[in-house]
Amino acid sequence: MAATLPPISGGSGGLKQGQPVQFSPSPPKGPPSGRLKPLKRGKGAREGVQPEKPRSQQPMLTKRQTTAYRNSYKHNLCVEMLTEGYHRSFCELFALIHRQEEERLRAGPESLLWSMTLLKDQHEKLDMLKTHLTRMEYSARKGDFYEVYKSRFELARYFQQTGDKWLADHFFMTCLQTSTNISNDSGKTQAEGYCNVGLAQEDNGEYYHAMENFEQYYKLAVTNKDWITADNRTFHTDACIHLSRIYNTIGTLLEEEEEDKNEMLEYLKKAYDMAQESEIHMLTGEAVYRLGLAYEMNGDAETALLHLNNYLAICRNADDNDGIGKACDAIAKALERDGKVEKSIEYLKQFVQVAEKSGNEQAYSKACHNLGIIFNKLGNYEEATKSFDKAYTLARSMGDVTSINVNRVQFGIAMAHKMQTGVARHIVMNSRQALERIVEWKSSRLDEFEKPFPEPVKLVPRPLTPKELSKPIIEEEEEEAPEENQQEEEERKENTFTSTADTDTHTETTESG
Amino acid sequence: MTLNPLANPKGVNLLCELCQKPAFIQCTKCRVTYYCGVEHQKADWLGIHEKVCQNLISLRQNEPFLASEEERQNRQRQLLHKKKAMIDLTRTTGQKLLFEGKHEQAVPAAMQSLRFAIDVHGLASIELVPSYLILGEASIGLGRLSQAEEYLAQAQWTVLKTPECSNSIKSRLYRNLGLLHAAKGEYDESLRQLANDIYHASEEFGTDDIRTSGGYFHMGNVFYRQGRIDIADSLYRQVTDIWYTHLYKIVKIRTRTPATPKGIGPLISETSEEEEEGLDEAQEAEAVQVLNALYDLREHQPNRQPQDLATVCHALAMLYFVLMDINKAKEFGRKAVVASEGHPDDNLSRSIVEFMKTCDRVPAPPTKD
Repeated sequence: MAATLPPISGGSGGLKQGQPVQFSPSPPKGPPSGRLKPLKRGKGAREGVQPEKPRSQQPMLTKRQTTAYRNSYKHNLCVEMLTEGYHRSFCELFALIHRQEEERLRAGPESLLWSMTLLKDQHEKLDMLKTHLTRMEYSARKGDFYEVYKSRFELARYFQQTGDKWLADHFFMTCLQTSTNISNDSGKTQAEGYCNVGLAQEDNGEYYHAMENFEQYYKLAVTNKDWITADNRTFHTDACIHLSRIYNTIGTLLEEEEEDKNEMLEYLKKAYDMAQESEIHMLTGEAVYRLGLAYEMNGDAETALLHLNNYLAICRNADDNDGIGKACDAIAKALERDGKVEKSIEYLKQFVQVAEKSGNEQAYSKACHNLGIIFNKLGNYEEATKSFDKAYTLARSMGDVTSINVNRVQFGIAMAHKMQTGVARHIVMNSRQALERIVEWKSSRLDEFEKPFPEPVKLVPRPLTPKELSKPIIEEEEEEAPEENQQEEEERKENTFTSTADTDTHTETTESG
Repeated sequence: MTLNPLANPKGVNLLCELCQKPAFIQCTKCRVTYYCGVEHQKADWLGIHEKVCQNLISLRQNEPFLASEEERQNRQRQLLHKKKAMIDLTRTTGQKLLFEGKHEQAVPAAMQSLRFAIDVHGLASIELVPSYLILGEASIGLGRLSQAEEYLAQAQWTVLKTPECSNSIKSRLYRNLGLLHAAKGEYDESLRQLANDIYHASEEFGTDDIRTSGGYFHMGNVFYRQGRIDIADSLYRQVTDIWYTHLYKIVKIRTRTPATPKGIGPLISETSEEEEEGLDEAQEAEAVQVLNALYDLREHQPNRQPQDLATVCHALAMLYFVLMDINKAKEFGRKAVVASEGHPDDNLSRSIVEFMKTCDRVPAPPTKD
């Protein structure tokens, strides 16, 4: 077997016999080329540069050294472990390597797995595995399962850091198995094991399995409230948090799949219960909010309002402006669906206020937008335009493309609605001036329908040539180019430049009216 | 039938089958095998000749006159085929004798297989290695260590020269080297070789195969002799577990057969017979040897865990069940029940009880097979 070993730094850490085995091939040697002066020989510092001794003078290599050179790193490592009597570690390591190879084969050469470095070529990880596995086998032989657990846990953490998910999962799983053997701590390690496995599974997307594990965790934690995790939380709270989160996730999942609505509500309710049990307000609020939204989607506005008001109260307590905003928004929506529009507006206004106060532009923009929509629906176009205007400006200042576009369209629609009455009136008036104004508007798009006609009585009897007629109106326009509307004009011009869709909506809505 | 070497036709040297000295006796059954004395004839007969006597006739006869090229080639092919079959037969016999501890008898079988192998594959072929290994092992068993070393060195050299050599051969080579070093008392070196054995066997069969278990067993023995009892214990446990699971699988398949509707008759039982992974002769012998050794060990161990003994007993019981020795199976089954009484809640004791039931049920059908 011709060994193609990459250079390995130092011997593997596990050699205790004191006989150093060099796994790495020796550095390139040879006499220096003719031109260069031979290097000064420091006192023993430059031994690597010395010309190679003839083979006969070199020391005989021991069998271990030759096999170390001849065989693969994995082979040497395994043999090392076995020689020291750690056969279970060997089995485990071997199985792991084998599993990865099989998975790779199954995935085929076109998959991502194919190009990844295999475990057996990652010497650092192999060494890590070896030290910990042997240590845990030693402890297991002595019957000290807590040590075993600790070693496994450490390995799991290590592989979590290096990003080898499957290895981390494996060790978390075995952690759990080991923890069943630890009898003298009434299941604390087992609880930890359940928690870790649950987290790993959640990460893998196996939510239902994760849920089961978290439930086990919770069961153990509930009876022992004095256990405390590393970040100074009781296990109980921790379990509640995890459970609440996983229930929420499952609930959302069900929502996306549009399966059984009741089941979804069931999960969200469970999440809420758990959140309440954890006594963390933020979490409770979040859960309540989700629940409220779900009810609202389900068409049960009353229950939804109940939960959402609850959320609002929690947010008020916590002084969480974003939360209050969200709550107001959701409540407004629910109310609107319920048909209580005025109340809805009230809440939305609150939302706007809160958002303004908190300085959260995104929320502010959203609030204005929602308010605008409701005004628009109610036919209060004046207010609607104002709100959309605000929303649009905010969106532009944030540079959020979708929100800019949405608000732009809505702004246009609201303005069109606003103008509609004026245009309609002019059409109905059926006077020449009115008609001209419409024509004028067609070409320049200036909103002047609200203005009174200059002197309608004078103009009517004396017919004018179209040129003469057009002049004074233009002058008028120039004179009275309204300051209030200046901003709007600019924007509208911009609109016509940037997006034709907007003008289309303008004209469409106006013409249809 | 006696011969006189002086009476042989000119140019014909009849040599003893075992020691290659001038022969004085001829086997009366096949008339193609010669010995220097009764002693060697007897040894050969017990070792291998009994099994191959008739087969040798066709192999050692002078080539008959065949008219056409086609016929000659046909005969060549048949001979080759027969020789290969003989290699297999002699090797399995040798291996089995080794496991039974009859090292003396294994030598003729190994020699025979080596001779055929050289005949078929030539001198430097990797195919000779298994025969060398058997010879080596037999020599170790007989205490002829230098001879064993010679055989094994030959085998190792061949393996080294053949990079594409299969892992199973390597594993057996290292196992024998390990045994050799253990016999010499060089325990560290022995462990190294055995570790290599386990590694290669695992590469070939997986870590929990019965073919890998031999390495663990020998390693356990070495650790035991070194006085590192806890390691040895853990290794023995693994060996027991491997055999246990394997036998359990076989028993399960066998006992399941009668459960299928009997109306279809022998056809069904034949097909299921095929799909089960049975034990060949050498493996049976190995199982008997290893498990009995483990049983003795566990029985005399002062601070054993009751579970260990129960597992070994159960495995032995199943083994004898597979070997159709129902009485012994029952005996060990009873021992297993006794041993497992300390752990009434275990899975193990439940499976033992279940097994005893099938034992009671079975005796009638297997006699038919």
